[in-house]
Amino acid sequence: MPRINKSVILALLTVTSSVFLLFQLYYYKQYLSKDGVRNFNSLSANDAQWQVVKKFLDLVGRHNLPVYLIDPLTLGLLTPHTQQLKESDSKGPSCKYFCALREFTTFALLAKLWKYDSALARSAAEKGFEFLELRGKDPRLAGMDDLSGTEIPLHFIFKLQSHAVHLVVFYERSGNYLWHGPLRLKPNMDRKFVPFRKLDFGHQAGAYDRPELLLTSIDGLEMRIPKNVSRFLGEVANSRFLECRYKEARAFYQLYPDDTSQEAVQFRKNAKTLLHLAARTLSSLGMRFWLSSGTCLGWFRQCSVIPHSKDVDLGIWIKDYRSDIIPAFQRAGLSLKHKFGKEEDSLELSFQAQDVKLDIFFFYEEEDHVWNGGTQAKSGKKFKYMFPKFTLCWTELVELKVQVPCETMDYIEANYGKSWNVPVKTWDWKSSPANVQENGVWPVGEWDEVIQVY
Amino acid sequence: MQSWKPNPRAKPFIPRQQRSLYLTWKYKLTNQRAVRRFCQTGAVLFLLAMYVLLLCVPFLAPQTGAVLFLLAMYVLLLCVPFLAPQTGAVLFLLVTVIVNIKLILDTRRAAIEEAAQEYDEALPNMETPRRPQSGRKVLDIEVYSSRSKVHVAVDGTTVLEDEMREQGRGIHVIVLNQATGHVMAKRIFDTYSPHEDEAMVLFLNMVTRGRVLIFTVKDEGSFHLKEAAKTLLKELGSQVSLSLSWRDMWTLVVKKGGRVYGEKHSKSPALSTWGDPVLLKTEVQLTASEDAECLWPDTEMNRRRKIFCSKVEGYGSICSCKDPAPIEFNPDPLSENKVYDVPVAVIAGNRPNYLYRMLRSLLSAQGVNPHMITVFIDGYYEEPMDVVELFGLKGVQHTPISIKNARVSQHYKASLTATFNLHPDAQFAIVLEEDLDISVDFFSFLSQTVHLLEEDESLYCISAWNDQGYEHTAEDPALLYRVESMPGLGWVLKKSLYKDELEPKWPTPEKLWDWDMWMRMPEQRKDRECVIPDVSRSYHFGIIGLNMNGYFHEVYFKKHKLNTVPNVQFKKVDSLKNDAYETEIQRLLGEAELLDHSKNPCEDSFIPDTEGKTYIMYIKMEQEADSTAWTELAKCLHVWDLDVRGNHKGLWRLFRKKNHILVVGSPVSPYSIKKPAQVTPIHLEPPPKEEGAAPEQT
Repeated sequence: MPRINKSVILALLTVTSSVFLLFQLYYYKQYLSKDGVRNFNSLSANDAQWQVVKKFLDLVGRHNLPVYLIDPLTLGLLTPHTQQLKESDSKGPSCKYFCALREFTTFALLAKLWKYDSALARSAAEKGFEFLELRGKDPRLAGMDDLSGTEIPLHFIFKLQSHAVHLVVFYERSGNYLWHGPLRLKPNMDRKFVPFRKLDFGHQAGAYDRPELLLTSIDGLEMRIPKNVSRFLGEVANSRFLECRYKEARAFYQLYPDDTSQEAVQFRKNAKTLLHLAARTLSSLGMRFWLSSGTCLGWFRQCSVIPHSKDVDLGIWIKDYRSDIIPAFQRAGLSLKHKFGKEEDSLELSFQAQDVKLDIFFFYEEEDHVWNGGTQAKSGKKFKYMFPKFTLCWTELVELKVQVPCETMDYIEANYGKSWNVPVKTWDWKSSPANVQENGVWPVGEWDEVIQVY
Repeated sequence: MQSWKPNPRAKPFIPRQQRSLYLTWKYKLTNQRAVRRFCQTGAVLFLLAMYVLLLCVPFLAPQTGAVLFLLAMYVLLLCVPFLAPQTGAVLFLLVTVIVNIKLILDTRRAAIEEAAQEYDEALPNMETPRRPQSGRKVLDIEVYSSRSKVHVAVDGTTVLEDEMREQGRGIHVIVLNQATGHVMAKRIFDTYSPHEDEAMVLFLNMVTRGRVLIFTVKDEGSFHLKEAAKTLLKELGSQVSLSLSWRDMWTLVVKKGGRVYGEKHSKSPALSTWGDPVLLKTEVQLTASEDAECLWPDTEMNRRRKIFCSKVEGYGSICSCKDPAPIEFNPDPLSENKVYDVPVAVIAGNRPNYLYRMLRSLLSAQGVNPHMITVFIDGYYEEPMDVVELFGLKGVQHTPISIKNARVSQHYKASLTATFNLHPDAQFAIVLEEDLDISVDFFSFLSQTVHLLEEDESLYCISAWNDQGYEHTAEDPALLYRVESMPGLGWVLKKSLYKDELEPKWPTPEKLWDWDMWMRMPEQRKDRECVIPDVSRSYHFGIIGLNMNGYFHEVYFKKHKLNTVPNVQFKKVDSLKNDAYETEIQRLLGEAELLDHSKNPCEDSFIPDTEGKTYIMYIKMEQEADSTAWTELAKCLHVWDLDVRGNHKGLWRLFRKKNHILVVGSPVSPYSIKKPAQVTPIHLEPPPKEEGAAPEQT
C-alpha cells in the first residue's frame, strides 16, 4: 500500500502545492498594490488608505487646493454605482472604495485655481506626511521663442506610512484643454520614495478635456470627482501628449525663414478656422481624427501650418466612419467637393471652405500596416498609400488640441521619405509620396458611386 | 516540482533547501510509521525552528510587511499537522513554495526599482565642480589700475575687465559678499565728470557694513572727485584718497567698517602723463555666513529678502537690518475689479534698479493681483531675476534674438505670446515696461474702461499714457479721450487682436523695426483708436535706454503728469464708444468759445484767465500729413512735438490754465465745418533752420 500511495500522494501534493502557489501569487499581486503592511497587526489594513485620504483631504481643504479624484481604479469601482452613491453615503461609514489594498490614490490639482504656497509642505509635514514635489519645465513657454522660467510643480506625492497620495497638477493650455507633465526624478531624488513605476499618471505627459466636476461623498469623504466618470476613464487610456518639437522647428526656420506675406498670413488664418471647425464637427459626431499628410508635416516640422500647402488634411479610421459626416459638414457651412471610393474601399472626402480645402482620408487597418486610398477622377485609377501601424497621441496646433500619430516620424517618413525636412513647393499626390502604390482601376460601372466630383 | 524554476536568480537558494526537504519527505514516505511519529513529536518542533528562522528575516529584509504577511500564513498552516499528520509533508512543500514566492517577490521588487529609472530626468551630468567651501576661507584678490585697462580677479576668476577705448573712465567699484565672495554689485563712477562723485557717495553709503569693497581707477578719476567723496574714502580706510590727483592710478580693497586689505597708488609725474599701472594682490579672510546676515524674523517674505540681500547690493534700505523697507505692500482691493484676472506682462531688460522701482509701484497699486504678473527679462541676467524673486513674482528669461530695436521687438513678441500661453483663458493682457511708475488707480482705470475693448470694434487699445498730458496741459483725472495714435507705456492688448492680426505678421528678427512704430503703422492700426486718460496713469522715468538719453527725457518726459488721486470715477465711460464719442465732441464744439485768432497762440494771453471753460481754436492743416502748424504750436505749448500724436480726426484736446482747449485742424478735420467763415486758421511757420532750437524751448 505505501508503494501505491507514494505516487498518488506525490501527484496530490504537486497539485495542492501548485494550487496553493497560484493562490499565493494571486494574493500577493493584490497585496503588491499596497506598499508594505507595517501596521498590519495594529490597524486594520483596509482602513489605511481611507485614513490617508481623509488626512490628505483635510490638508488640501485647509490650503484651499482645488483637487478632484482621478484615481482610475477607484473611479472604475464607482461607475456602476454612481446612481446609488448618494444613498450609500447616508448609511454611514461603510468603506467601499478607499479600502482596497492599494499603494496610491491619485488626485488632480487645477493649477489655474491654485496659488502656490510654500506653507503646504510645512503643514503636510505637521500632519505626518512625507512630501515630495517634482518640478519640470513649463511647456507653455517652450514655443518658438526661447523662453525659460522657473520650473513649475508638476507632481506632488504625500506619503503616510503605507499609503501615498499622488497629486497631479493640471495646467490650462491654449486650445481649451488640461495638461499634466511627465514625472521625472532629479538625480538627487529618492528613487524608492514610492514605487514610481506603479503610478497611474506621470509616465508620460497627458492631455485632457476640462472635466465638469461633481461634489460628492465617497466612503463618507467629501470630494470632487469628474461628473462623467466613464468619459474621463476613456480619456485616461488615450491621454498621451506630445509636445511639438520647437527646437527643431526653430532650426528649420533658421534655414527656411517663415513666409509672412499677406497671403501666407491669410491662409494660416483660414486653415486655423477650418481646423477648429472640423474639430468641432467631428467631435460632435464622436469621430476621432488626426492630422495627416501636409498638416501633420507642418506640425512636426515647423509647429505650424505650412502656408503653401493650400489644404488641411485629416485622417480617420474607417471603423469610426459615420454616414452622416457629409450632412454634418454641410450644416457647418462646407460644401462637398468630391467623394472618392466607398466605405469598403479607398474612401476619401473633400470639402471646400472659403479658400481652403479640407481633405479627409479614411484609413484601413491590415495585419501589419494601415493604408488609405486615392483616386484619379479622370482615369478611375486607384492609389494606395501605405503606413506602418501607429497609435494616436494628443498635441497642440493653432490653439487646438488635436491628435497625431505618436510615431510621427515613421508616419511622415512613410509619406514624404527621408528628406521631409526640405520644403517642396511642387507636390504631386500621385507620384511624389514615398508610399504610393498603384492599386488598379475602379470598374467603370462603379464610377458613378466612387467618383463623385462637385 | 523540481523542474519548476520560478526565476533564475532564485536558483542558488532553492536547490539546497529543496534537496534537504525532498530527502526528508522521501524518507517519510517510505517509512509511514516513522513519519507519523516524527510528525507527532519532532515535526512541530522542527517547524517552530523554521518559523523562528523566518522570524529573523523581517529584520534583514527591507519590506518587512511582506514577511509578516507570510508569517501569518505559516501560523495558519501550523494547525495543519495537528489535524492530519500525513499532511505534514504537504507543509514542507508549502514552505518551499512560500520561500520561492518570497524570492520571486524580492527579485520583482528589485526589477521595479530598476524600472523606476525610466522616470529619471534625461539630464547630462553637468554639475559644475565647486571649490569645497570648507577647505578655503580666504579669497585671493588681484586689482589692476592703469590708463587703458582695469582688471579685477577674485580667486583667479575675472570679475571685471575693461580695456575698451573711450569707455569706462573713472572709479570702478565692486562689492563682494564677505561670506561667500560673490560679486554683489559693480558700478562705475566717472568722477572726471561733475556730480558723479555724489552718486558714488550715495552708493557707498547704501552698501551694508561688512561688505568687501574694491576700487580701481581707469584713465582719470580725480578731476571732479570732491572733498566729501575723498573724506568718505578716507573714513573707509584709504591712506591716499585725500591726495589723489590728476591721472593718478589707484587701487583699494577694504571691508566697509573694517580693515584695509591693501591699497596701491602711483602718482602721475606730469600733467600730460599718467601714473604707472599698479597691480594690487591681497587676501581677504571670509567670515562666517551668519555674520553677514541680519536677524530678521523668519517669515516667507524675509526668506526672500535674505536671499536677495546675500546676492546684490545697492537697493537702499531693503537690506537694512534694523528697519528694512517693505517688499509686500497689500494695497486695498478694488470692488468689482474687472481686470483682476487679466495677466500683466512686465517687459524688462537689464536695468534691475528700474525694475525694482517699477515693481514697487505696480505692487502698491490698488487692485493689483500679484499672481497674474509675469516679468519677461530679455537675456539671462541674474540681477533682474533676483529683483523679481525678491517680490515673489514669476520671471521668465528670453534668449536674446537679433540686435537693438529688433531685439526689443522680438522680446515683445515672445513675451506677449507667452503671456497668452500662460493664461489661455485671458481675453486681454496688460503690457508694462520696466521703466514706468504706475498710478495708484492704474487698475481702477483699466477696470472701468476694459469693457470698451470688448464692445467697440473700432478700438485698438486702452493706454494709461497721454502723450500730451504734461503738468501744464492735463487737468481732469476723470476725463477720457479717443486718440488715433498708439501711446503704449502701460496699455491693454486684446487677445484676438494679437492672435489674429499682430502675431502672424510680427516683424521678423532681420527687420530692425521698433515694435511700437510698427504697431502704429496704418496696415496694423487700420484706423482704430485708443482710449487714454487726460491725466496719465503711468510715468516714464527711464533715462538710460535704447531710444533714451538724459536730455531727451528732461524735455519730453520729466514734466509728464501722473495721477495721484485714488479711486477716481471716470465720467461717461460709454461715451468713448465710436458713435457716442462723436455726439460728445459735437456737444463740446457747441459749448466751446472761440479764441481770439488774431493773437499769437504762443503768448500766455492767448488763453483768457478763466477756469473751467471750453475754448476752441483752428489751426491750418491742408491735408492729413500737413502738421507744420500743429508742430509749431506743440513746441510753444511744450508738449510732444516730434511727431503728431494724441489727435482724433484732426482734433487735439488739452488743458491750459484749467480751461479745456479744442485745437481743430482746418480744413482737414470734419469738425472744422463749425468754424465761422470769417476766422482764418492760425498758421505758424517753423523758424528758419539756422536759428537752431526754437527760443520758446529754453
